[in-house]
Amino acid sequence: MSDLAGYLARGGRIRLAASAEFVESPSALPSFEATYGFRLSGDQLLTLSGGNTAATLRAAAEAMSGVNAAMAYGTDGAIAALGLTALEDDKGAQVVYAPAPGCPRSGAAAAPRDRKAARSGFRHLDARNAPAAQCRDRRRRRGCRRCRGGLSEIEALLAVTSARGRIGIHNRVLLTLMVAGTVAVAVAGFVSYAPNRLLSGQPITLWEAASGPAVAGIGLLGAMLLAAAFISPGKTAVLCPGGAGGGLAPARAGRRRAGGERPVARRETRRPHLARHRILDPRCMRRARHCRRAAARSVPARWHSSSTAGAIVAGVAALAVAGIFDALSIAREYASRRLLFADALSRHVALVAGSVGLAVVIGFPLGVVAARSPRLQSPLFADPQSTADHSVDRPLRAADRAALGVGGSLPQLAAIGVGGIGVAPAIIALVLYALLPVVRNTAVGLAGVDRAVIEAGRGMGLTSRQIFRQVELPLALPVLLAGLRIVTVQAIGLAVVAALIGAGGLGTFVFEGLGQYAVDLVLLGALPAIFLALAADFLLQTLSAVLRRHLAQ
Amino acid sequence: MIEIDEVTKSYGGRPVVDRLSLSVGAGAFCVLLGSSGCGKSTTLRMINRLIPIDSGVIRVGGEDVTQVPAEALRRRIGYAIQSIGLFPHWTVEDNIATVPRLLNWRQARVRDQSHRAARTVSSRSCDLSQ
Repeated sequence: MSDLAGYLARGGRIRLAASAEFVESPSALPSFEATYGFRLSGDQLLTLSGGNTAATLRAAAEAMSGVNAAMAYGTDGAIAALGLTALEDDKGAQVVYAPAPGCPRSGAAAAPRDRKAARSGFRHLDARNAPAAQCRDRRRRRGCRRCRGGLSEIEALLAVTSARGRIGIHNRVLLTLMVAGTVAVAVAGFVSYAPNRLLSGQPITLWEAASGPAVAGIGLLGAMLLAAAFISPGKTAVLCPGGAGGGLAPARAGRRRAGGERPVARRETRRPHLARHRILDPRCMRRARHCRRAAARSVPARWHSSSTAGAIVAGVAALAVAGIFDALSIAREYASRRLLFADALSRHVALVAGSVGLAVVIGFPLGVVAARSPRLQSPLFADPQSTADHSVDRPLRAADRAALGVGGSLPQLAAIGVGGIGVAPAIIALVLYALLPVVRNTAVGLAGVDRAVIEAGRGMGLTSRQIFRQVELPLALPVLLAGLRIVTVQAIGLAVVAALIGAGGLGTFVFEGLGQYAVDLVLLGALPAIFLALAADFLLQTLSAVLRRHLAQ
Repeated sequence: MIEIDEVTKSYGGRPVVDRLSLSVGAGAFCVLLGSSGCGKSTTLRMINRLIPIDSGVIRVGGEDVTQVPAEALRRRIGYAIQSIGLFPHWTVEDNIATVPRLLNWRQARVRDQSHRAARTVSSRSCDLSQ
């Protein structure tokens, strides 16, 4: 590049074919211009709107439109094969994209040979031999003899490790929570002690409440959590090598981190022009498919976090059974309502299961019909705002009033439980509230199935029923399950309000507590509802992941 | 043997295929060539009744296609659709075996046949369960 700058300073002729992004992005051409002290004018540039390396390379190789230089991405052997020379960024104007071996765990496990090849290959991969690395494969296929590569074909997926400082604030939420918690413990007291629920409690600091080792343990836990906020979770972005989709551009990798023997890549992996290539390049599409499958085969990362969460929940439950928390006010409230609590919990679950079940039974066929005939969609989804944006209790009250009216005027209905208060109106209200997401997700999920796939099914002689059951339904399933998840979690929260109309459930405690100014009694209703919602969300999410994996195979 | 006799298809009064007649002999390898929008796909899709015929007759193996149930007809005709012709949620093997399974072949025969078909088109051994 320094030579190029000298050449330009002597008035050498250049016409550079490059993508608009390369020309405009401050980290690209302007960075080269600033570092090497030259400036390309408009007529020295041939700007292409896309970042098509094949086009720029060809323009340079064949001197099309007077082009004698090109911006190119990739580890592509084409650079050598076309007789072009890669300019070395000797002053390090560019961030370095160096490849690092990596693969979704299962993908690597599926092909240990590839992983090994990738590792041994990348140890030696740098700006000089990178083009040859790919070209050796080409030589096998097309008889290219220009390159003297020493690497085997790399079939493994690449991961670019993000190396922008592994230590830094990575989890602001956790940090904020920890700081707030520390301040609260230090200033406001760790627990408060009250002789009964009517008196407000006396704050007790951590030092007074717990023994030395316990304080040390809590402090250690806090320090670990605080540290966790500063440690990078070690994200990796999966990139595909090959063709123009390389994106790693080791050919431009001139600068290494001082003292680092391993090449380090900066984070900037989501560059749109590369994404375009990756989509267009059939080789990359194949790899992407492989990657998706590998990811689908792998144990979801969720499992790891979920096993941790499960361990914590199990631990807390064990402590609770052992009676550690018996002195806590919420446990006191529970102790005095043990039987009522079990009843309320099962009633709550029944309310949710019944209403969501009914909503699915009614909403699913409606959604299917809506997906089939777009004309029906507008009346079905006539006014989504009015349903979606209500405050929580308004539809309940509306349904309550409706049910009251119906129950009042039709004694037969009142006789089977449809009245002003009780379980039936609560279920009606919850069903009505859940209906829209169910119908809409069903319709959207089914409408999202590729027409061409359905067409293929028809062309091969599947009946419409077979297409629906074997093609449309499995492909729409993730969206349908997402709808079910939303509805379930929403219904668990909403069913709390059902206690207002005598339907029972955990809301009983909430409103009883509100009436008695007993916050702990409110918590006895609210906390289990929250845990129920989290558990339902997790279960359905897991079910969805399992089914998706099942479908991907 | 496919015979197309005076077949017409119009959309909104505008004929897309206008009184087309042609016949393709048994075992013949035939290519329909034409500019974009001239009715090639429409013609092909009328043969397996993905598109209904306005007038005229199409016979496959001497049998009028409109006299056969559409699904049964399509199961007899191999049809590779433009662009996406695969079911993304199925394995390669499932995709190959679609029609044999629709015809209720025995499982062993389906597997045998789809592996043979895969070997015919691929020089490398490939994993059909992906």
